[in-house]
Amino acid sequence: MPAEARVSAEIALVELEGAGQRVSAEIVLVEYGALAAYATSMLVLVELQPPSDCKPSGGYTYNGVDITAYCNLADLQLAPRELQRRTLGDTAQGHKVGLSDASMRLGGDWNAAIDALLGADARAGRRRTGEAYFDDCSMVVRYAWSEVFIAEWKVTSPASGKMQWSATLRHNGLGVRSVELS
Amino acid sequence: MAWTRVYQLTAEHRVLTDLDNQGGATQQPTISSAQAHAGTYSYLLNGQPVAFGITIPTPRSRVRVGYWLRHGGLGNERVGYLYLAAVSKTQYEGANIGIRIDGVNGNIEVVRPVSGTTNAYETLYAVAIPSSLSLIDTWLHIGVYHFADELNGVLRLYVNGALLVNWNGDTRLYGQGSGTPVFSTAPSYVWVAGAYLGSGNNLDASTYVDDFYIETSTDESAASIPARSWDAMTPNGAGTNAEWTPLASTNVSNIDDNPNDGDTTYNKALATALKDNFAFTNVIVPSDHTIVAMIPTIFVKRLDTATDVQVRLLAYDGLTYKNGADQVPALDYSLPLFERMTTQPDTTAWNETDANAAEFGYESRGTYA
Repeated sequence: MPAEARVSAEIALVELEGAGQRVSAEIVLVEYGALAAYATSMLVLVELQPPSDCKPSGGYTYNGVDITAYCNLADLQLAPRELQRRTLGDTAQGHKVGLSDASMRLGGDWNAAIDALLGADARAGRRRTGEAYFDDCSMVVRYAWSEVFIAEWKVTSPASGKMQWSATLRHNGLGVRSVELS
Repeated sequence: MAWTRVYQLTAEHRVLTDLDNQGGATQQPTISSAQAHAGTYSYLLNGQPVAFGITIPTPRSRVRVGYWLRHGGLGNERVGYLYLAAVSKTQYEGANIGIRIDGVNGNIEVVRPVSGTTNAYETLYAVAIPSSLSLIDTWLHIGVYHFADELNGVLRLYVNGALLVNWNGDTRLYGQGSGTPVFSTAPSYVWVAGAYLGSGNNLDASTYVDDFYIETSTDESAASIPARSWDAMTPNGAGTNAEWTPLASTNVSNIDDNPNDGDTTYNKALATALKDNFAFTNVIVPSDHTIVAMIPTIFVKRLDTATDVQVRLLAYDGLTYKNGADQVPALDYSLPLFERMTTQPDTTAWNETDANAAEFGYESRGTYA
C-alpha cells in the first residue's frame, strides 16, 4: 500500500448452511485511494505589453453607437446631492451625502449624422442606453446606464466659425462601473 | 463585465499535451526554438495541413483571441485560419464560422459552413490581403473578435492593431454536422489551422505561432485587441517554504524540469496548507514594454478521483502572500494550472525589479485526509 493511500473497508457476512452444518465467513473489501497531489514542474510566465501609440482618450456610446468620432468634448459629472444635517442646537454646519446625479456633457463639430442620432432623439424625448469610457492606455474605465435621455441639445451657427453642437445627457439609475486592461 | 482571460497558450512549456488534434489535420505543430516572439520557443506549423484546437473553459457569447503569426510567404498557402465552434468539431466538418488568410485567392475571408452540407464553406466576405500582412519572416499580431449572441453579430480581424475586417452579420454557430444555426450559443472551441493547397507539398517550414490567448465576455464591445507576449522564468533556488515532500533531493530540483518529466521527479503533498515557494531566474523586460501580469503555472496532478484535493498558486514579496484561487488538479499532467496575477502582493503594478525579487510557488488546499 502506498504511503499516501487512504483505505476504506466493507465487511460482508456470508452464511452457508448445508448438511446440518453452518459456516460463516467474513469478506473484507479494501479500497485504496491516495489523497495526494504531485507537482512535477513549475514555470512563471511574464505577460508583456509592447509599447503602443495609444493616446489617452474618452468617449461615449449612445444607443449602441459609438459617437466618439463626433465629439471633441466628453465630460462626465457624477454629483451626489449634499443634504444639510443640523439641528437648532448645532454650532457648525453639517452635511450628509444624498443620491448621485450622473450627467454627461458632449460636444463637437455639427453634422447631419450626429444630428440624426442626438437631435432627433432630443426632439422626440426618447430614452436610450448610454456608456461613457475613459482610457489612459493602461486601463479602461466604463460607466454604463440602461437609460439615458437628452436633457439639452444645442446647435450653434456663428457667422464666422464652425457650426458646433453640444448636448447634456441625463442618466437614470446608478449605472454600472467596470474597469479592464486597456 | 470586463474581458476575462480563460486561457493562454505558450510554447515555453515545451509540451503539446494542452493542444487538441482531433480536427482531421495530418499533424499538430511542433515545438521549435528556431523562432520565438518572446521567450525561447514557438509552435512550428509544418505539415499538410496542420492544426490544433483549444477548448474554451466557461464559454461565453463573446470571444476575442490574440496571437502572433510569422509566415514564410502566402503564395500557395492558407495560414492563420481561426475557427470558432459550438462543439469540438473539426474545421472540415462544417461546424464552425471562421476567418482565414487565404494566400491562394489573395484574400482575407470570412467563411461559414454551407447550411446542411458537410465539408462545404461559403465565403461571406473577402478583402485583398494588404501589404502589411504579406510581410514574410516577420511577427504579426493577429486579433479576432467573435460575437455570437445576435443575428447582427460581429467578426473582426486586427493585424498589428489595425482593423482589416469588420464584418457584421449572422455570426451564429452551426450545429454539429447538421448545418443548422444554433442561436445564442457561446463558442466552446477554437481551431487554429494552416494548409497548403498544392498536392504533395507541405506548409512553408517557416510558419510559426506564438503567445496565444483567449478571453471571453458577455457584453463587452469590440475595441482594439491588446498584443500580449510571454517570457518565462524557471525555478533556480529554494524559497521561504519547502513543506511538500520531495521524491528525492531538494524541492526545487524536483520541479525545475522543462518540459516536465512526469513522475520522474516531483514533490508531493499529503496534507493541506503546505507551501512550496522558490526563487526564479530573472526576466529582462524589453525597452518600453510593461509587465501586465505574472502568471505562475504548474503541472500538478491529484492521485484520487475525489476533488477535495486542491492546489492554489501564490506569489510572495517577502512580507505578503498573494494567493490564487483554489483549483482542482487533473488526474494527469496534461494541462497546467495557472493563475494570472495582474498586481503584486502589495496590490501595486508589477515591474522588472519586483518581479525578479518575488518568490512564486504553490500550496496544498482542500482536504487530504
